[in-house]
Amino acid sequence: MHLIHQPLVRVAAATLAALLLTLAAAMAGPVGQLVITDARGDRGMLAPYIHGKNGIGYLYTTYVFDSLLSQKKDGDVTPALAKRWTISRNGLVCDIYIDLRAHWHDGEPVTAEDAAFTFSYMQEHPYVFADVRNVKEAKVLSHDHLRLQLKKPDAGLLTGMLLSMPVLPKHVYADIVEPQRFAEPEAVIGSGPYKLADYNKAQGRYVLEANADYYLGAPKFKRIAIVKMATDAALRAAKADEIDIISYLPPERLEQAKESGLNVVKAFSNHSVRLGFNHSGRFGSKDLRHAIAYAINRPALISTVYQETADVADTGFFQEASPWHSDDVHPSYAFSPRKAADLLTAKGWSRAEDQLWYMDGEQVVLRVLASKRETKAAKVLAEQLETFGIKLDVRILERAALQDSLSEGNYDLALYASSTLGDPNGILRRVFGKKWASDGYSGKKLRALADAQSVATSRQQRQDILNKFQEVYSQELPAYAIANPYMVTAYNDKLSSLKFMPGGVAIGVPSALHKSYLVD
Amino acid sequence: MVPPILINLLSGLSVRLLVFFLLVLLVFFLPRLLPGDPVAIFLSSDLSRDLSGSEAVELRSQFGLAGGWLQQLGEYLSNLIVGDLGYSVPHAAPVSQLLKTAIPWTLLLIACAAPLFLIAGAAGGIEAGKAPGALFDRVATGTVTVIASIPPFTAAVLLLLAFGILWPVLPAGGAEPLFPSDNPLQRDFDVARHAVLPVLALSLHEVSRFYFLARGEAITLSQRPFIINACGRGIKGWRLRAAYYGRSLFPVFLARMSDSLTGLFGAVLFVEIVFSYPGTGHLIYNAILDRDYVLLQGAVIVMAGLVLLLNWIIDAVATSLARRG
Repeated sequence: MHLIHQPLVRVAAATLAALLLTLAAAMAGPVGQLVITDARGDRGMLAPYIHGKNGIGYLYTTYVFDSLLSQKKDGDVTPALAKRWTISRNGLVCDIYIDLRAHWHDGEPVTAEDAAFTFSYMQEHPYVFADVRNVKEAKVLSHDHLRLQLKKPDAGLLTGMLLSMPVLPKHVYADIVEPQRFAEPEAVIGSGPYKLADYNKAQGRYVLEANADYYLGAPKFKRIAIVKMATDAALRAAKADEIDIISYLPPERLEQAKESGLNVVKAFSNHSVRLGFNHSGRFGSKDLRHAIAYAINRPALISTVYQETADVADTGFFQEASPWHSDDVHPSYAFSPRKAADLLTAKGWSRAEDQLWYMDGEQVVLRVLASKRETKAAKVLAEQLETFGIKLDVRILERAALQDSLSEGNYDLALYASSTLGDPNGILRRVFGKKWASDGYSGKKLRALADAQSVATSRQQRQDILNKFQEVYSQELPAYAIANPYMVTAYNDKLSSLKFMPGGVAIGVPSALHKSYLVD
Repeated sequence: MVPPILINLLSGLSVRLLVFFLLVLLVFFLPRLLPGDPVAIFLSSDLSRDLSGSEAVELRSQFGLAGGWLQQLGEYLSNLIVGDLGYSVPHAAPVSQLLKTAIPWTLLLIACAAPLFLIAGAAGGIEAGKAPGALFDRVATGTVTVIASIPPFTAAVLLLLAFGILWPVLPAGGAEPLFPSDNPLQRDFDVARHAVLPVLALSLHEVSRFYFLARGEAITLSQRPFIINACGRGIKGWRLRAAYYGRSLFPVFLARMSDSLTGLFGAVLFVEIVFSYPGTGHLIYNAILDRDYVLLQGAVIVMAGLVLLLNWIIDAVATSLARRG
């Protein structure tokens, strides 16, 4: 008996000891390092003027540079460098009081001077993620008191400009004439929770170090590394505990991530895949836009193309997870070839015996442009419309060529993904703007609502106008939102209950990695 | 008397300078003929705000896009002559600095691959050509024929799949681990490990060229009296292969090297993209997608200059050797 038991006891004791050791190792001290993987890697150096001009480059830069305001986990604004603020009744004067506990990464204190300087510097050197053109004057009244004089009231002052504008250190940037060429180590002196310690462009690797005396709380990690890693490699590395976060996991890999022992958070990207219309061509007509919408079977398209990775999008521009989404039900243009046919016939189109549509005796062929990512959706769309009798000429174009063709107006329909996040003032450029991903729409009724919400004096008033906007949008249909794809972030137990920021991070970056998760 | 190699060098130089100049023109105009506007692509994120007219004009001039094409070309050429390759706004870095970090990686791959495919090609070719039709010849020639039919990027993808993913014994991408070691020895070892697959992929592409060349030459050489003589005198093994066959192959190999250089530099770009190797291939690829004209021009000009320079030297040496007989 004795002889048989002894090895068993030994094994048990050894296992227990090993378990305790692992546990002790896991609990010893503050969590040292967090490794985030990014499938693309290099996003440029993390300073406002030189980071990559995309949402992710901006997001990483917010770890290094604080703005006057920040966001709570529910997306609402909360104090950051500005500890409090007041806005005058006429909406033209904003008093901002700086949190004097804040310091730059080189030890200098942050003052009202720095904030005032940033407003004037960004007037002269435009920073494309913050629009300060509405600021008439930024006046320093005392060490911590700054008064902004605006040209016109702005309903998006807090959720737009003050939230998104990184504050620059005056003592560093004052002499810099060409900030877009300023990539010295001083360029990344910010006031955020982390300092940029190392940046390797060729490897696409960032090392951030905790800013020990961060004024809003202690940074959770001593070091954060952001490394370039493809999804497959990242999943393997997560299994081996070499990395902690896969920032954007392709949603179809969700189960695989769970098997690797990762937690996952899945949310709508609100980066909806939309069918744009060329409003200066035949689709200036609302009835024709409706006809196309009725001829498309969105649920069928989504189940073929996206399966579980997207859902049917809301037709009223803002998507369900947005803080500004209206509770009203918007028309869904449920697949109805009959309605589509009636609308087309009323517009003088006719269907011949070959079941194809003709206009003035000529067969209708619509040119559809799509980006490479939307190839599959474009193909299914073409199949659906061709079954209905409208011939499509589908052109899949690489990014640059697509943008070129879109701004030249050389198309009838266009399939592309674009954001609906960030401050609602974004609709002014996303619906009425000139840029390639804009709906390029100019309807007066909708424009009046968009303008009205931008000068609304209370949040409730703004929401009411935006509800009306969404209703009119879904009727006018400047673009037909097809699918709202999901986004997934996978993470291990070094972080808990990550959530995608409702409405997006600051300028509207869809991300579950807002800096508040990285600070205690 | 001027040594013949100098004459060869001088006569080769003028042709190459002309080629280089034409190439500069080509690489200046071709990207501009592509659809797409660099500034629009730079700001294509729908999270960024629209620029006002004057802001857009200012940005265009930062991109070196102010004025017409001829004015841009003039400005570009005058900067190029003083050695200024320009500034890449999307990368926020001077082109020369970007190239300085990328080119060593590309050269590392080439420098490791070249001896590999040259020696393997020569050894295999000589062995096969010594006794054409024998077992070794049949097996080796068959294998190399299959390898030769695989395009470089396919070979790279296959290698990546086999040794990086299915049987992950070697790193699947990058030039270094996530966090390079502080110990220089360990670091060199890691760099070497990361270079294995890309170097193999690159060598596979080139080895067939030199194998067939060596085999063909070896068949002819075997009939030549000095080899028959040597065999008669009982010289064999390593000495026969290196001193008799190898030495006679040298000028032929050099001559072939000079015209296979372009192919090699072309293949390395594909290989780098497949293995996300941080060399010039990546820079050039992304510069095309971003319509980063300045970077694209700089990278192509420097790479082409390098190819022409190597090709010039090799050509001159090969011609001198050939003349000596």
